[in-house]
Amino acid sequence: MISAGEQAAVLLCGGSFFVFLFYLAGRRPVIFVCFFFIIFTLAWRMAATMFIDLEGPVYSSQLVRTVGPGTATVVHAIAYLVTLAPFLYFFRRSAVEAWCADVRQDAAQPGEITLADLTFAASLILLGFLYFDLVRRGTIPFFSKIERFNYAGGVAHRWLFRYGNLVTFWWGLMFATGYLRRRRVDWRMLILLGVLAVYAFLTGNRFSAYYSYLSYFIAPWAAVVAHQLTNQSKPFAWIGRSLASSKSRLAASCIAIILGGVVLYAIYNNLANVRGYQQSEIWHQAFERVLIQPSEVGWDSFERIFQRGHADSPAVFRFLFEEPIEPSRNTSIQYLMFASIGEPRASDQIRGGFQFAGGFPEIFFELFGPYLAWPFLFGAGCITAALSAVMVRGTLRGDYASTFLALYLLFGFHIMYIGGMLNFVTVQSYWIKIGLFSLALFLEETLARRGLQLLPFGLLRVRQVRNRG
Amino acid sequence: MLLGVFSLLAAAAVWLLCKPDPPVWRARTVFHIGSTVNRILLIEGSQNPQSTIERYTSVVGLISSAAFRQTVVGASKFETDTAAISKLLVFDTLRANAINDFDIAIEFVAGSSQDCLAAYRVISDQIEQRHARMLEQDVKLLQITIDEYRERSNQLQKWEDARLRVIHDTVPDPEVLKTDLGAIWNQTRENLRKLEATQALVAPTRFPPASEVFSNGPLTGNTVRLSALSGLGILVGVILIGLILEHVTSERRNPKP
Repeated sequence: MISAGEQAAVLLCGGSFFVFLFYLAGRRPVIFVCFFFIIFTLAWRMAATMFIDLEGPVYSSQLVRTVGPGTATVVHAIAYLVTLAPFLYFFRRSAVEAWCADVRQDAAQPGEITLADLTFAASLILLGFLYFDLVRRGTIPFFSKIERFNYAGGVAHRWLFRYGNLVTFWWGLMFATGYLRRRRVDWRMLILLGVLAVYAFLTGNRFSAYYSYLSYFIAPWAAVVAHQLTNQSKPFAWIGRSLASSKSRLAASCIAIILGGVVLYAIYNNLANVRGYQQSEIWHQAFERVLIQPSEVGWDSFERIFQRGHADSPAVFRFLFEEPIEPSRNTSIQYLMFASIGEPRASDQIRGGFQFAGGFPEIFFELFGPYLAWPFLFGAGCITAALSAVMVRGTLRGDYASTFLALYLLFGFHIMYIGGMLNFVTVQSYWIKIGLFSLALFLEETLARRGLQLLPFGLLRVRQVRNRG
Repeated sequence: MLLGVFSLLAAAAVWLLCKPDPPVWRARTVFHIGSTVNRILLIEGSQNPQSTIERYTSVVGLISSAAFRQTVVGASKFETDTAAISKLLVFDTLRANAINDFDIAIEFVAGSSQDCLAAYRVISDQIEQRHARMLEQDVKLLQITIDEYRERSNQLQKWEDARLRVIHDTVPDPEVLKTDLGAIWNQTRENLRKLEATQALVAPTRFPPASEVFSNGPLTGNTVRLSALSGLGILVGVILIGLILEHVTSERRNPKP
């Protein structure tokens, strides 16, 4: 049990974080939409941490111990706010207005083949191959009751598993660009997303695939929201503007209902049919997955660092960057699992392809200690906010190369916020991506001065033959 | 935004100004679950018939249960001055964590180091007694099995001796020679040998002596407070710098006439 003052602090700190998110959703929707992927995760973790702090001790079957009560919410809420605070500067109203002044609104000419057309054609081939491969192999995880991580699939499946978020981001980019340039909805991109959602369902995915695909798809829509934003806008008016027509409102409602139903059914199917839990066990597992597992590792780390004072930065550094269990994967969660459940269980689970949820912000406190972690958290937030700003600006200006590469760099930071991964910066290919991103920015600026584009929306024009007589 | 900042500052104020907690002591130790032998597995030919007296998940579950924590709090002889706070703290903080299948770390907080030891004695007594009962039952069953096998082996030996005498005294009939009695007797002797040998593997649950319990204190919650204060400092600094930069850039863009 924690004291009444500490309980009040937990409630107020957690509450202030949710109030801040409410403010972002209402008043700063550009930030909310472009960073929704991480904001949703932070909100979920905050709720789970508050539950553990206030309802603890609660039993965690993964850690084989009880966690809570405590005041981890206080530290985590401030860490989340320090992460999100730089967005307020990088997405300040004057900056967003300046980007909107550069927006490209030149509609495609008749007979012009656009980047969206090419994207649609290439994506159809990819999706066709995915379904063909699924049927050809004869094993469909949904019908065969196989866990998604136990289904190896073919080359296309593995490629999608790795780059699916980038693919859906590109579809979202074409979707937003189509709206910005032509003022109409490019239904083809929504159809592609729908077909991919069905594939995800058949291959045993539950919540995370839909959540990440949808988040990356809507991220470029932040540019549309920015373009529609005015100084006199009322809170949440952007939702009304984004869904202006009755057709779009109906479509959005249908998508939300179908997606919600599919996700709920997929979760139930996984727990009841794939994992074989019975009645009350299903509820118990779902409850633990929602309210304990997202923050159990974070709470365990909080106890180690803040309550026991066991911060050992050199040892953590050595584990993360020199002697991890699996160097090719996220080493932060490997360390946190090792510190929480010990060996050999940590190695067994990681080598079996399973890892716990969580990792941020606890890995910063593990690595830098309870005080020095704050400037690093702020620094990471600044880089993330700057790259997100480049992404939204690029979408408005039609700088597709730098927009995509900004997202590609941002992806590393997203993984850091989701799973605490820090070793992505030590991979050589990440620095090649940084070089490519810098080159794309330079070329786009240089070409823009001459009225050219590095990757134009209109690719080529097909001469139309008119029928006479 | 103002509301968010307000509630954040209010949270900081409440938390930083609230009455500091009394100093506490944290005790931590690791105990080893005793081992027993699964005689069924042994007879079936398993290479590793040794197991813990009670599975580690059950031990952790037991220690974490409210009933067990209540028993510990009720039976511990805490010091008079700190008894009230120790009862609350031990009940709320007693945790077990499985290090591996055999070793369990236990940890809890109390109002003084003597209270930590008092609670520790009750915990170790409770678990040791529970496991002693379970082990006694296992040992009894093992002994019964050994006795049965010994009796069976002796009986088989008598039958085999009688059969051999008959063969020796008369002309051997090839059909009489075709019997599995010798092989069965061999197998029974082998199982008996294994059962007797595994008696040495049986060991009771052992808690370290009280002198080896790591007790850390007095502890206060200052790390959390100071760290949260550092974070708040950075947050307020960032908001202020952001506002100043925004003000400077807007003035530069729209200079006053």
